Amino acid sequence: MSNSIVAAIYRYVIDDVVRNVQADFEGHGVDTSVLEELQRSWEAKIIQSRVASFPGEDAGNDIDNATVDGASDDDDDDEDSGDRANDDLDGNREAPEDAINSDLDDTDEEDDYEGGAEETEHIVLCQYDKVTRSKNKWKCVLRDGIMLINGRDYLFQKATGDFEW
Amino acid sequence: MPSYYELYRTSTLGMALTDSLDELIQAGHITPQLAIQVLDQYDKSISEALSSKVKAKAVMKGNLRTYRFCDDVWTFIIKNPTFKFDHDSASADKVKIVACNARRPGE
Repeated sequence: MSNSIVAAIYRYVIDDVVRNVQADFEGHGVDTSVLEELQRSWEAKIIQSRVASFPGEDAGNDIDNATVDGASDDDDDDEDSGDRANDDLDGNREAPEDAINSDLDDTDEEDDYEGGAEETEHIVLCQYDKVTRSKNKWKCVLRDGIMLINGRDYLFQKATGDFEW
Repeated sequence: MPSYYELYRTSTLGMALTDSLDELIQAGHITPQLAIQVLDQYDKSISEALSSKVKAKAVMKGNLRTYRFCDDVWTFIIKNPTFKFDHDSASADKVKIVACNARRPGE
């Protein structure tokens, strides 16, 4: 539930910031078109990161497809060079058919490479009301937080943490 | 005028704004001073939105791997955390929590 609210909150924050900096832009003698460009660029990045669902995010899907295709091309090259290296080390003139089996190993690397592009740090940014400890049991009372978990944003007004050290 | 925490600048929303501002500075469309003013306004907007517009509550559990308290800021690294929201839940292998003191709004 807190994820669908995220888009609405972000929309509000973007509009609020843009509305309030309009005077600053004019004070610096910068044209309103630059402010509009800032807003568009800001919104585009949020949509691209797909941390919350916004209406009208067609551009995001195209970019994802392009990334997947690029990664596949690189892996074909890695397979060929790997097979050649194995043959040299063994010293045996093995038939090329045996070498094809090693492509299973390369598949794992391919997954890691694609996973790296989507890597999220899993982070919570918030404020604390109270942090207490009893032996190795820690209790935290937190408020006003933004969480980035598994590539999605969550917001909370209050949170409690129960951790064991 | 009290200042607000710059903590939320490292969120997705904040980083997107920072990147967009950097692009405009590189293109020479805005000055760094104006960018700082925009970020200051962002600090204010996001803080007020979180405290007034968000109502959700969350519960976190996990193993505390490391903790640090410095300059009134708590930093925790939690291993195998689980998160529960009103109608949702999530888990990860590791999470970093950065928390500023709620009692003072800035500085």
